[in-house]
This record gives sequence, structure tokens and C-alpha cells, in this order.
Amino acid sequence: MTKTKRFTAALLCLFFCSGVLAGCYDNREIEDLAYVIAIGIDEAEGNSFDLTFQTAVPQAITGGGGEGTDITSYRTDNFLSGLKKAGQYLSRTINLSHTKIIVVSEAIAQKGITAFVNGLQQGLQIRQDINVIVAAQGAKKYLESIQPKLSSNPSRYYELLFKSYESDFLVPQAQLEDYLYRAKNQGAQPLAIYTTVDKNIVETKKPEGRGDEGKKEEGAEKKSGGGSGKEGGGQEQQRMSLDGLAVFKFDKMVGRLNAREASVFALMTGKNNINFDIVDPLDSRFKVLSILKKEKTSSTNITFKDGKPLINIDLIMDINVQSVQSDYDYDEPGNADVLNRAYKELLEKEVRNLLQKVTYQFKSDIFGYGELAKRNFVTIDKWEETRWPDVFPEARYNLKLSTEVIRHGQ
Amino acid sequence: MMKTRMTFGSWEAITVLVNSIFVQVFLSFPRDMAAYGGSAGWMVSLIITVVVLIYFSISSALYENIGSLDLLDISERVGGRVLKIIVGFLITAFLFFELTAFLGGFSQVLKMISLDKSPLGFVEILFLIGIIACAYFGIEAVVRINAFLLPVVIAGFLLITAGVIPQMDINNIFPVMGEGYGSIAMGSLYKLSAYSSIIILFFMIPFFKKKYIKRVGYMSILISGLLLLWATLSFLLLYPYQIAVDNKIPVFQMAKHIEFGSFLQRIESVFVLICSISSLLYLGVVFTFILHIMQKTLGLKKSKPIILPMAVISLTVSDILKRMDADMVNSKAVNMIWLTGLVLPLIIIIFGACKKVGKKSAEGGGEID
Repeated sequence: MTKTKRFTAALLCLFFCSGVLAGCYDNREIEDLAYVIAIGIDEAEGNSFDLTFQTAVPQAITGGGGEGTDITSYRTDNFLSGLKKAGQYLSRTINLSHTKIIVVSEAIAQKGITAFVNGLQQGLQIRQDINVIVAAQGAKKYLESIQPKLSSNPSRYYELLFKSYESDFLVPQAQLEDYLYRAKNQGAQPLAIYTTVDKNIVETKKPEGRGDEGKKEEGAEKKSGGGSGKEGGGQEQQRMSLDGLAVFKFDKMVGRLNAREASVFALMTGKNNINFDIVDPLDSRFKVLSILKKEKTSSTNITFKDGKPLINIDLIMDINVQSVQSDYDYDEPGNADVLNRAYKELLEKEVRNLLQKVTYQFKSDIFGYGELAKRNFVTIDKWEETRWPDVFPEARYNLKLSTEVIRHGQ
Repeated sequence: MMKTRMTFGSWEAITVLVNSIFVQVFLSFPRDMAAYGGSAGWMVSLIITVVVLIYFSISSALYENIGSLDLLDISERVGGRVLKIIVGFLITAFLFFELTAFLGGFSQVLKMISLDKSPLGFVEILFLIGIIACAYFGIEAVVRINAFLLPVVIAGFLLITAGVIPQMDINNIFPVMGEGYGSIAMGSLYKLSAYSSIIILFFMIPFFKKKYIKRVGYMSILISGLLLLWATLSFLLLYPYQIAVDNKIPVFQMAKHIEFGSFLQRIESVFVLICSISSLLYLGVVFTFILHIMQKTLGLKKSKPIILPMAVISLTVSDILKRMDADMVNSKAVNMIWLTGLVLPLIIIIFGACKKVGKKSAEGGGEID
């Protein structure tokens, strides 16, 4: 090939690639898309339901003023036509690739939500780490109560919100992918985050806003966590916060764990360090706040005796004291021992209560002990013959808990 | 005009074969393993690798009496021109079927993950332009491009699978025997088809030195076997078998899981890149070898005039296959057809070894026009 021909061929390739790679049919402008940050599902009359979309407003996020999100509800009888209606109303293409949460009302959760989320997760746009939330007061009310003032980016707001709960009870099992797996299989049962009106929020000074433009009276950022009584700001709007976990059996909600129980659950099953407070054993007027960490050497194994599961739990906890309200120094060996014994007693009691509640009251294996029980079987057929969800309420526990207070300088 | 000998090294040959086998990971190979074996799906990929290693050890032992001849040369020496033409057409048809089925498969994958608004035909034409360019450049160029792009593809794949290690759960591979011995054995039989592209090795032999036959064969099977095993194992460790079988594009779904801090997220673009590169290389190699085999079978002086007609026919056949109500890549019936890629060469090699054809043949080297 001569030099000229080669040069011409290379130039043609360049033009062709530039044209094609810039996007033919699939070019997308951000302004043409409506990014849905949150989806809410509420019950409506007959077979219909209210689908609420919280969409991001890019202009506001980039500092153009106005609200950062737009919340609109659509009444529909199936998810796909709801999406279509939303797209027509917003005159944009709905994009679910930045959706952070799916909120369902408690009424819908008790009837089952798989039909809704199945329709969602067929598309490849939606991500699997979306958190599933059950809202006691309804999905739309929960979404309307969220008015981030300190963060202009609503997507970032949710990320930070969930990050702030990691040390309380946020668990990966409450995400969409885990929910779907657990709802259809017998090894574990689904969970979701539970949210309700938080009466612990106390009126404070209004937080400083971004500016005066577009500032509305209702809503202020909610930072309350379960059990720790963090302060937030707010006015007439009902203040909602994440307040524990909703327990499901297959697809239907059967109960809930409060924030404290959810923290114990997160401690037993998760990898994150968990904030845990206790009444000061040396001065009952005050509290001690510590960070608890489950050691990697903790283990759980399951055997079967007379067809009934025997669950052996060996928990080893490290206790890092963070804050002591009284004047006692828990770095002293004697005091540390007292605190250690107090934590051990409290944790044992709370773990046993949680196991009792989940196993014998809810009869739902949210811990995922079924996944461990599978090791006792050689083939899938043998495992499925045991019918773990029916056998689990007959389980007996053998709990061994050891704790150690880590003293500074130790 | 002087005819120059075309050769390439053993490394280039290894990369071509590894890519031809490994590329299936980007379609649904891990999901198929889960479907056959359940939580023991990784055993299926291990078994098929061991079986193919045994297959190759038999073939390479028989090749001692054959030298550097390819399958067409062996057929000619065993049964004359008639047998050569029959074998040539059979292998061409087989590779052509493979090309069209995978062209449709890869186009659909790319359409699903990236070009969802583009018509399928448009995506197929993009691939077709690539494979036509490969054919015009010739075997040597295509093979050398494989040699330096495949490590990039494998690095991207390993990055994706390593990124999901924190989310893997060892409990997902229990019960240890999964769907049971029977299902694992049947699955292994059907999925031997994953190695059907090894037929290309028997046409590459004239291009590299005879002494490298075993090295090329064993290395490519071992490397691709390890990659297939790791792809299946990492997939099953991440997803319980019950949802593994529902995953449309396994490695893409794995890439969606990767999240480190606030800045390393949404690594799916890496998958799009490596899938596109690998599929284009694979289709280019298969198309180029189809033309080479056709040229040799029919005794044509040049293969370039048939490039465009063959490309158009492959597009048309791909379109026809799409309209058929069958999965042309993964269904059990089609898997049995893919086994032709293993069975046919073995039959020809056995006949060639029995007749001791080409024991004194010259050292390898193809021709270019």
C-alpha cells in the first residue's frame, strides 16, 4: 500500500470512529434524562398503587437555585406504565441508574413487594445495592419529609445518610439484591430498613441554609439515629428517621426490630463496628458509650440433632470505650473488669432476647443460618428436602459470648 | 511473484487460542455452569478442562506421525482431493456457524449493556467492519494483535473479579456437590463445546515450529481452563446458585458490584471495553481462518475477493439464526453441534497417524498472497 493510500485510509478510519463513537442512536445528554433518586410505593384503591418518584433537579444541584429534588406521585396498576407516565409528565427519559432507595408503605410490605421490585430489577440500569425501606407513615410522606438543606446533591445526601447509620444498624442484607434472593429462597429471610416518626427529635435553632432563594419553611435535614438521640432540626413537618429493621418471612413483613435490637443484629451478622451504650456500672445516673467490634475468630456452626437444628454461636467482642459521662476511669484494670462484666451480661441478655424474638415469635431466619446449615448436606436436593423455614422455629441455641474492654495504652 | 513464508511464534498462537476459549466468559459461561452444576458449577469447568487436556495429549501424541500438516493437508494425503474438499467444507461450515452464532450473541450483549437504542443490525455492522478489516490484514496481523491485546483483556477481567472478593461468601458453594453427580456429568459433556475453538490450533500448526505443538496446546488449554474456572468460581462465590442462573451477563453484573470508597465505582465500563476487544479479536480470528480454509480447500490464489461476500453472507445468516426460536450459543442441541470442533479433528488425526502422513514433511510455514 502506498504512503498516500495508507494516510487516506487512516484519515477515513479516524473520521468514521469520531462519528460513530460520539454516539449515533445512543447519544445521551444529561438534560434529556430524569434521574430518579428514590422510588416510593403506596397502597391505593382497588388493584392500583401510588408510585412516587423523587427526581434530581440538575440545575439546583449545580447552584442554580431552587429545590434539589422534585417529588411527584402517579397512580397506576403496574410499574412499567407508572414509569411511562412519569416520563411523559417530566418530558424526559427516566433513568434509574442513580436510584438510591425504594420505599414501600407498611401496608404494602405486609402484602408483599416482590411483584414491584421484580419489575424494577429486570432492567440492567438499576443497581443492586439500593436500600429497601419500609415506611410506617407511607412512602410518599417519608420522601416528602426529606428536605436536605446542607447538601445540594440529593444522591450524595442519601449516601451520607446511610453512611451515618453504618455504625448503628445498617446492614447489607437490607439491599435490593439480598432482598430478592432471600424472598425466593429458603436459606435466609429478607430484611428492610424501617422508618417511622421520631419523637426523640428536639426543636433546635434552624440550621444555616445555603441561601435565601427557594428556601421553604418546611423541612430541615434529619440526622437522628435510632437510640442515640441525636439532635436534628425541624419545624411543623413530621420528623422521620431510620428506626430499626423490618423483618420479612419470604415476601411478607411479619414484624420489626427496634433500633437497639437492630444494632445487636448488626453486631452479630455484620463486619462494621457498632456504637453501643450501657448504663455506667459504677454510676447508674450516667452512660458509657463504646464501639463494639466482632472479632474475626467469632464463629457460628450448625448441626442437626433428631432433625432439629442446633446452632452454636461463639461471639468474641472487643469493646473500645469512647465516652464516659461519669468521673470513673475505665482504663484502670479494676474498673475495666467491672465494665467488661456489665457489657457481657447486657450483650448476652440482648442477644438471647433477639434470638428468641426472631426464632420463636417471627419464625423467620433473618440471620441466614440456613446458609450455614447447607454445609451439612451433599446435594441441593437433600438440602431442599429439609425445608429450612419450617425447621428453623425448632432450633436450639448454644451461645458463648466473651468480651474484652480494650484499655488505652494496652 | 515470490511467495513469502508467514510464521508467528508460539506465544501468538497461545493468545489466539486462549482468547477463542476465554471469550465465552463474556457471554453466559458462568451462568451455564450454575445451571448445570448448581453450587458445584465450578466442578464442571474443571472437569471439561481435564477432559480436553486428555484429548489434546492423545492428539499431540498422534501428531508425532503427522509433522506440521494442518487438517486439510492430512485429509488430502489420506483421501485425496475429494476428502480434502469434504473436510474443508465441513470445517468451514462449522466455523461459519460459530461465527454467525457468536456475532449475534456479542451484538446482543453490547446492545443490552451499552447501545440499547441502536438497532441490532447496526451493532452487527460495527463488528462486521472490524472483522472485514482483520481479514484484509491477514492471519499474521490478526494473530499479532491478539498477542498484545489479550493481556489487557485478561488484566481487565482479573480486575473485575478481584474487585468483588470482599463480597464473596464461601457458603455459596455449598452444598458441595450441587445438583448431583449426574447433572455435573451431563453438564460437563455439553460444555465440552466451550473448547470447540481448539480446531483452530490444527490450522495454525503450519505457521509455527513443529516442536511447539505441545507447548501451544497445553499452555492454551491450561491458561484458558484456569480463566474459565476462576470466572465460574468467582461468580458462584458472589451469587448464590439460585440467582446465578437468572443473571443475564454474569461478568457485567459482577462489575456492577465493585465499590471502593467514593471514587472507585461503576466499573462496568471496563467490562464494555474488554468484552468489545475480546469479541472483536475472536470474530476476526475465526473469519480470517474461514477464508484461509476456503482458499486452501478450493485452491484459490487469493482470498481477498471473497472477503466481502462472506461477510455479507455471515450477516444474513446471523439474522436468520436470530429469528429462529433457539439459543444458538448455549442450548443443549447446539452444544452437541459444537462438539464437532473436537471430534472431527480427532478422527482426521487418527487416520493421518495410522497412515503416517507427512512424517518427513518440511518445517511449518504458511503462505501469503
